Amino acid sequence: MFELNTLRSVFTLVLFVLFIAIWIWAWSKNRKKEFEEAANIPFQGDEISATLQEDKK
Amino acid sequence: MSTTIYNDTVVRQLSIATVIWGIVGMLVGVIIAAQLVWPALNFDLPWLTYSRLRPLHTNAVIFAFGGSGLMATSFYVVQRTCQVRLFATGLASFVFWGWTLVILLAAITLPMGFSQGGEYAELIWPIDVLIALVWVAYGIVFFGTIVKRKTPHIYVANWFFGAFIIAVALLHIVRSLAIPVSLTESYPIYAGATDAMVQWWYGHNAVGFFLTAGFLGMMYYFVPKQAERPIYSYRLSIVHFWALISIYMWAGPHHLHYTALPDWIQSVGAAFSVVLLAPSWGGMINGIMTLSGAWQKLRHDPILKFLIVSLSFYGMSTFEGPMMAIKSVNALSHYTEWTIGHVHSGALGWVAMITIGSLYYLIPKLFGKQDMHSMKLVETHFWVATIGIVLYVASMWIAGVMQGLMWGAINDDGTLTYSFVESLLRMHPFYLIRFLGGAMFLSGMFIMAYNVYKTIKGTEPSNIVVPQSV
Repeated sequence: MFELNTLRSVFTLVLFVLFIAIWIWAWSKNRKKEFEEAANIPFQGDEISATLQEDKK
Repeated sequence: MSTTIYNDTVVRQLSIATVIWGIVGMLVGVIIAAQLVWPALNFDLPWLTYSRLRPLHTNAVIFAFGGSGLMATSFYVVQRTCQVRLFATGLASFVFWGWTLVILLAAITLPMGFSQGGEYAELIWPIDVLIALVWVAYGIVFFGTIVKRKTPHIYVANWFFGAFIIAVALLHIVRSLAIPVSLTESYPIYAGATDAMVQWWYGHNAVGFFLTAGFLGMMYYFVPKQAERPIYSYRLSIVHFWALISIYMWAGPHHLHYTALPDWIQSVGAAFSVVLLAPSWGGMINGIMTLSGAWQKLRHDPILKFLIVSLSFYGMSTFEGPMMAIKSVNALSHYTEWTIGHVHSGALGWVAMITIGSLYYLIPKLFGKQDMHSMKLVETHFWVATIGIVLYVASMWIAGVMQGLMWGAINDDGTLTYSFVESLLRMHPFYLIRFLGGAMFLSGMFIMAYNVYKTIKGTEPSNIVVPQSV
């Protein structure tokens, strides 16, 4: 039967899967360009143009 | 089209306040360190006793120095990375003056002996109410600015600042729930082991969200800016963020090993504390590796030295912390000076160093200057502060391990080998070294105050125009 402790285990598992999903999402190819732009946000409107640093891997 | 300027007035106020409260808070720290070496220094005055000055020290350095520094930098960073003026100028002003009032009330009530008793939650309930109001205003100003941002993406520094603001509101309100019986007295709504659990859920998350997440927000802006290169890996910063904030919430019970707290909660606390090593080091590596390929900058730039050494101390104390949270290690370290050493490696090495580095970047810009008055003095400050921390932490490590071993030593017949006083006597030289280390760190703050004064003397506050297009 479904009791509270089973729910707790399921919830822990869901959180773990969610974390892995965030990881995969963050490393997906589609996000690469967006994140490179985001990393340069602190340098907007600066006279000093920052050297773009490639995300490794 | 009319031009808007950034609201740097409140940032200037908070930045100067950070330097002043840093000196006040650390001075009280040096005084109580001296009292441990020379107990007569309390002059038999109740309001100068260690028990009253110690909460004044912790509140002043965490909430006055650290808090003002976080407010100053978060208000600066959120405007720059969102490319808009700070939301609600009047409310931002209320945040500064309200926070200053909280600090002054704390400085009066704590030496008078008014306390709720919870560590880092000593302040009495009327001040707690004021803190809640100021904090909600702070949140409105910060998130209001995020809402009206002109950049499509919310920069990672703002994620950390945002998590810090939300979590601290939650922690403060839940920990401070109490039934007032007079203007200065109240009773917490929790009892027994529950109260202890709530206390250290609050206490350790104050470390996790106030002293870590907030300052990581600082790190993610000022390290790239000072190094003049983007953060090492933006993807890592996202995983770092979610891992850190989801794990910290569960680490508190390691403060209550071998107490009346249920065993399984102690084990959960220990397990989550050990896991915390991963996201903590992820953040440290991300910050330090930002310099990858440009290490030579570190040789000539004292501001960068502050920032990078702060990350090194962050790495050290977030390695030490998980180790100390393991029950068998904790059996040796708990209640000893080792804990004090660990806390100060984090508080002086990480929190204070990253704040000082960020302020050295910030202050000239806020007053229309290129650099600080004297970069030589910044360099001097760096070395005085670093040597001070090393003296402090090393002496407390030795003292703590010695204390733990002496307390646990047992004769063949089962009696204790040493009395408490015997272990206390052995502490004396280390308390003296700790006092010297702390005094060195404080003297660095005086160098900073002088340098800041010379930098801003005779300058006009600079009005920086918000760029119109992104």
